[in-house]
Amino acid sequence: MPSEGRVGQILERFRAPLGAFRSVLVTTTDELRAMLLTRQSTLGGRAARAAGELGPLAAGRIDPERFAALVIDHHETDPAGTEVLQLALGVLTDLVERSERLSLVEVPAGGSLYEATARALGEIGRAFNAARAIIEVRAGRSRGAGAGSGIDPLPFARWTKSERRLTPPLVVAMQGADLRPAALAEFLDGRVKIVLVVEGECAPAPLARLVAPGTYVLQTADETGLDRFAAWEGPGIAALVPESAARFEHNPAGGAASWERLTITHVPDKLPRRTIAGLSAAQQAEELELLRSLAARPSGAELAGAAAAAGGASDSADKLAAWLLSRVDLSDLG
Amino acid sequence: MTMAPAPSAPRPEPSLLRVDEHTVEIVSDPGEGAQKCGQIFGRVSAKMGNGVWTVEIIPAEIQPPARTPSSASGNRIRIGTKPITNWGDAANLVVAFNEQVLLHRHRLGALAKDAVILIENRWATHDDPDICKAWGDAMEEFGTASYRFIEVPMEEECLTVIDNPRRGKNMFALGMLARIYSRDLEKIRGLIAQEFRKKAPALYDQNVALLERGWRWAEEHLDFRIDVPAVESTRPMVVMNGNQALAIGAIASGMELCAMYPITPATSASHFLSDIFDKFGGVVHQAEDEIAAIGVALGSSFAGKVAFTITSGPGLALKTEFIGLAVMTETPLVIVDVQRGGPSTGLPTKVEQGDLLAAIYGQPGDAPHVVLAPATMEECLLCMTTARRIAEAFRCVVIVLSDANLATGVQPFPRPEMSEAWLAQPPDLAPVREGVRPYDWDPQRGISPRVVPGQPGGMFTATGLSHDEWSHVGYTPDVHERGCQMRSRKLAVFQQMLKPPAVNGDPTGDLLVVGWGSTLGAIEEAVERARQVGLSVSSLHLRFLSPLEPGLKEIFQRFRKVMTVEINYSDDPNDPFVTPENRRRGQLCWLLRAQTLVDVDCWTRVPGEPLRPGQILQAIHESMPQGASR
Repeated sequence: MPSEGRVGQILERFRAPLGAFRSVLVTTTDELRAMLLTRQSTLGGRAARAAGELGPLAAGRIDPERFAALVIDHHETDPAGTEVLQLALGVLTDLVERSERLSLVEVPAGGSLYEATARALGEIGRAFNAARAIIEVRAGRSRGAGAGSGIDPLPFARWTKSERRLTPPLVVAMQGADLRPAALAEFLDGRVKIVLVVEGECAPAPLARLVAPGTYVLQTADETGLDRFAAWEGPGIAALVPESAARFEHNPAGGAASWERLTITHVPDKLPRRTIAGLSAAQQAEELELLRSLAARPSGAELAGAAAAAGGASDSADKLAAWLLSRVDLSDLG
Repeated sequence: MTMAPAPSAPRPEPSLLRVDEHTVEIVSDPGEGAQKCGQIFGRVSAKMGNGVWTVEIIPAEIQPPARTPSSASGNRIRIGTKPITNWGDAANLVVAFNEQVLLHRHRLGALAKDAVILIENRWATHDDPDICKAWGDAMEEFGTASYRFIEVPMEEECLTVIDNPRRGKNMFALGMLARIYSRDLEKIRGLIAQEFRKKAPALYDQNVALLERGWRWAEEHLDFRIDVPAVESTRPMVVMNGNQALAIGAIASGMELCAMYPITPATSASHFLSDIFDKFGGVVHQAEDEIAAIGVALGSSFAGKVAFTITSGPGLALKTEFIGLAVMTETPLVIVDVQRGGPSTGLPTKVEQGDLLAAIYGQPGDAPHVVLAPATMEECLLCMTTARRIAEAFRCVVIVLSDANLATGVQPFPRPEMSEAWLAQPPDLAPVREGVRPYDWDPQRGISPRVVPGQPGGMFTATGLSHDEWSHVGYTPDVHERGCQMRSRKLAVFQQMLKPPAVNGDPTGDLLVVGWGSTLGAIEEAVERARQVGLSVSSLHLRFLSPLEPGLKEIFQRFRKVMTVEINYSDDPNDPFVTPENRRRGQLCWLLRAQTLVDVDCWTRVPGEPLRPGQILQAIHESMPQGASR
């Protein structure tokens, strides 16, 4: 893959969230393994575990067999539940082994960016599905592997809020001719981050339609802004585009108005003239215009902003004063 | 007493005294670095394979007047061929930076009658006549002893290297000791480098120059050397003090939060922990006071974290209310109490075992919980894992009683083979099964599954008020009775898991000495010495104090007399007005008498320093029952 070097560099910038996700996978796998051992163990096995957990000071002082018998809860073995747990362990072990590759997506030439991304997220979602299956078994609600183990890929649409915050970033290598990112908007939630590494000519402002108040959107040719993008704690999409494309950064922390959040550093001199990635020249021009309009500062914006701030403070003070007065009974003051 | 300035001409080959053990003290005014010198000497001795036990000599005041007996600050290091388990009886060799601090040690009987004393010589001829007189008076007081004094021009020698000798005498002294005991200079340089790793490189060079100066001076002027052969350990060893061991134990046991407020002698544990805890995902939180500290630990544990708090006696007193809340809400919590002399602010820097009964019974109402006491530095490390697991298994409070002797003393021990199993499993956050209540007490065992906030189906209102299984407040007799019963039952269940303690020595005999905590080494050495002269004495050391380990009554009944040895106050039976009926006894003694109905006696002292094996041996001799076999 020609972009392999760039992909590696980008992954390096996301070492922390990638590590965090892997750590969660490893911990969950270890816990599940221990849980299975407990479920399947004899009293002797549980006693050995108790001896280990109590540590060397307890050796000869605390009877681990009694400890295991009296303290460690021993769930009666439920074969169907155990089967689900074993399936989940298999899934998690597999995901741990290829945890870094889970974040790498390659869109084949002529392929669909949306489908490739959805598939990658679904595969990550298998980890969440495995965790859900474990919870069901522990709560005694599992229907067993035969009735649908629930350890298939989990589509993004069915992810919970916390799952959307836990997911690792995706780095997608693709051709500019296939870059139709608008449909990715449905994935931009929680802390989902998608970085598109684009090879070859692409539309000038393909990410413009994804600009939304809480979404970090970055189009860059030389990775400028990627560190800020990586540090953003919300959703975001970035594209490493050819020099010919527009370059801009939409940072949700920039302010309340779109012009405060959006910084355009480069716009192509020439208007688009031909269709790229199924987008007509007119559609591409629309995207550029949308970008400009979002970044345009309204006339008198600073003054209006200052006045609004002052007015707001005054309102707050008035409200506070009114509230204080309402708490005090002044009826007998004359 | 013999007084001799060190000869100026180089001496012939010095005599070599080979001994199984030797005890060294370095004493100075605070700020002169005697403690650092002693710590490095102890560590290098341990690294070379000697058995080592060190005790810090710490003045009671932060800044006592210099050159006074009360300003003595330093370290005692007992080294041996075999493992050393206590600080021994008396120092055989002393390096003293002035005669006043030495006087302090002399008056405490801390020096062997024939001790060799290397003393700074500048005070004898000081310009200030008061100082000269003080020197003369001190020498007169020393006159009754047979010490061998060797005057050392420490200041003069240090001035050849640095401008302020107060900042360098300790390294010079270390150099002398290194020469006398043939310590490995390369290892010492390594320890100095570690010590000054955050300082300018020039400081390291200066300290090494002083070290080498001290070595050369001893080589040229001293007519003796001492050989305490070391035995290479077959296992890798580590050397640390008890507070460092507690901190490492906390990490090894999977603790995630240490909430504390600074208090001597516990603070160094959290300082040490704060340097390294974040590397393991842990946090040290310094709260605004002791109450807040336990509140943070309790809240964290309630929320599913593994948390502990560390304090000393006065802090434990302040935490009383929250301990009760932890018991009532059945929130797992480990509390470490590094005991010091009391009551009130008492003796902040000195050792005592005076918190035992406060730790067990110091809460209003019935607040059953576990109390355990490590007896060595190694056990300080290991006990945290045990404490955590017990706390979580029984949803209870576990108080770990360490003390100032363990906290600051250094001892080598085999490197623990840490295990992932020590981390135990995190709380089970699976949805709570339908019908399971927040205090779903097993009627037999009193144990209930832990419910953590955020656990689906596990929402409940925690309360310190008397409550039922649903955590619903209830003031009816049956609700309170049942809650008390269930919380108490857990301790009975735990006690059933404990094994009877092992007796050190014969299982029957004339006298059984019972101890707990840091006195283990001194008691066992005293008992060993007593047995060597034919006394029928054994000992027993308890780790679990609440509930007490089982089988004690049966063990006690096999001895003609049982006596506790403790570092806490008890009335002497011969004191005025003291009768068997009103005599206040040692704290463990009280417990054992109540629990076993055996007429357990006690020998206790509160000297503000660890017990010496010789003192205990004397007490054993005096306590042997009439007609005891010899």
